[in-house]
Amino acid sequence: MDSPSLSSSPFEALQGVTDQAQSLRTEQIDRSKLLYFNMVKTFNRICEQLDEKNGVDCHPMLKQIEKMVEILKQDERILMGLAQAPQSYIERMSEKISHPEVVFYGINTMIYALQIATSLGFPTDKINYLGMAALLQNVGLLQIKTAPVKKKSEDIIHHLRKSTEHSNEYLNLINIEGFHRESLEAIINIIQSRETVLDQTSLHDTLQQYAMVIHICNVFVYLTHQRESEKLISPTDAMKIMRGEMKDFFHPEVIKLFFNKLSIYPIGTFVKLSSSEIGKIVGVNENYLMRPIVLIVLSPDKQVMTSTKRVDLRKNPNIYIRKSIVDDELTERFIDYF
Amino acid sequence: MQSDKTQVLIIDDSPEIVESLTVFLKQLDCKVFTAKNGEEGLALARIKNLSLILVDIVMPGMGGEEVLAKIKRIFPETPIIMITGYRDEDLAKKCMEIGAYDYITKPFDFEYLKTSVLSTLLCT
Repeated sequence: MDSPSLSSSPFEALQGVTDQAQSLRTEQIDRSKLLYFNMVKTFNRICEQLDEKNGVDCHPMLKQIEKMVEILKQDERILMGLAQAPQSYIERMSEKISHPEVVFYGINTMIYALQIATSLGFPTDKINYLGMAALLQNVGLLQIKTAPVKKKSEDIIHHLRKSTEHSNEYLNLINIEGFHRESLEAIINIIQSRETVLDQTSLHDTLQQYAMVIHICNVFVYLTHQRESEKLISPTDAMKIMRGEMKDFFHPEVIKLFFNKLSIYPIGTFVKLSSSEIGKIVGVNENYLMRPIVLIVLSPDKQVMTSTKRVDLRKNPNIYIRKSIVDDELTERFIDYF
Repeated sequence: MQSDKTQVLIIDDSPEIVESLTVFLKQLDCKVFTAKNGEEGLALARIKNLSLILVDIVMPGMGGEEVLAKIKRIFPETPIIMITGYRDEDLAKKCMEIGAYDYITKPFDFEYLKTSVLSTLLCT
């Protein structure tokens, strides 16, 4: 990257840097969104083919997973924000999704799983398996045409396990050149086997680790994406549910890992501060889960901010997060803000 | 037999605050220890395997800020939540710089406190 010209005035030099940063930022936003929407289209069509019991080439999906890992390593914020976006927005920007539980939830689960895996430094050559398994884990739900979304957490686990009965028949229709499909099937089968997921002795086994990460991401997506419930579940509520009534379904170390890596206020989610301002989470302070970095989007009187105001809650301890907000309109309106 | 409950220490000179926090933490299934001053708190911190410590900032004798610094030197990984009835921005910032996990003012917003406590237990 070229440095600003030495002959330019300090203002011009600064302006040059700002323009460059703005241009990079716009490029990053466009790249992330394009990938996400293309992924929705590709996977949607794959699922339509699978639903017709036709064989399908998943190699294009693998290429997109590789790109996603690359973007997440550079700047995860837009993809994390998109993983929170309402289905209606995603459909408007891509196309009508035939099987939301498989396509929409699958892609978002994959984003969370890949984000955790990249932050843990999982080997690059193996991370594609985790991504593909996260994406395809619920493919068996294609068989269940009237998939009910239940409010109770136990019902969610039970519902997801129904996928087990049918997943292999769909996985057999998938072709990915140069990809070890048996490993993929093994991960998905572990995810869907209650006994093995709960087996606390094999945490260090690679496939088991992948399965545990995907399983917890999937349940988190399910909890936080439900729109049929009377009360929408925020990531913080999900943390309380997963640590409370659902704790027996997860290895305790995996719950810790999950919330430490994604935080209980994940990037891209919205919060109301004690100052009555509404903000979007744009950064986390590792090991200080209650004190992320917030970009204020609405003033206390609900006016859109005219200038950029970021609050690092660790440096401003007198301000705190009063509550998480689940609001599809806010998410969509400020999708490009970070 | 060793209890597998999460062990939490409250260091505060106000019996009313200690009482309300104890009831609250027990509802979260924690085993609670209490100390009415910094010295007593430090002694307990040395012998108990604690997952979380709540420290009042203003106490007679050793102040909360000093207690925080001393515990952090011995147990840098243990999360410490500072609690205070006074809004002092500089002191709040200083506590966060020393390594406090969170800073909560009285009267407590118990929903926030619950989230904060549960989140610390995810770190330990």
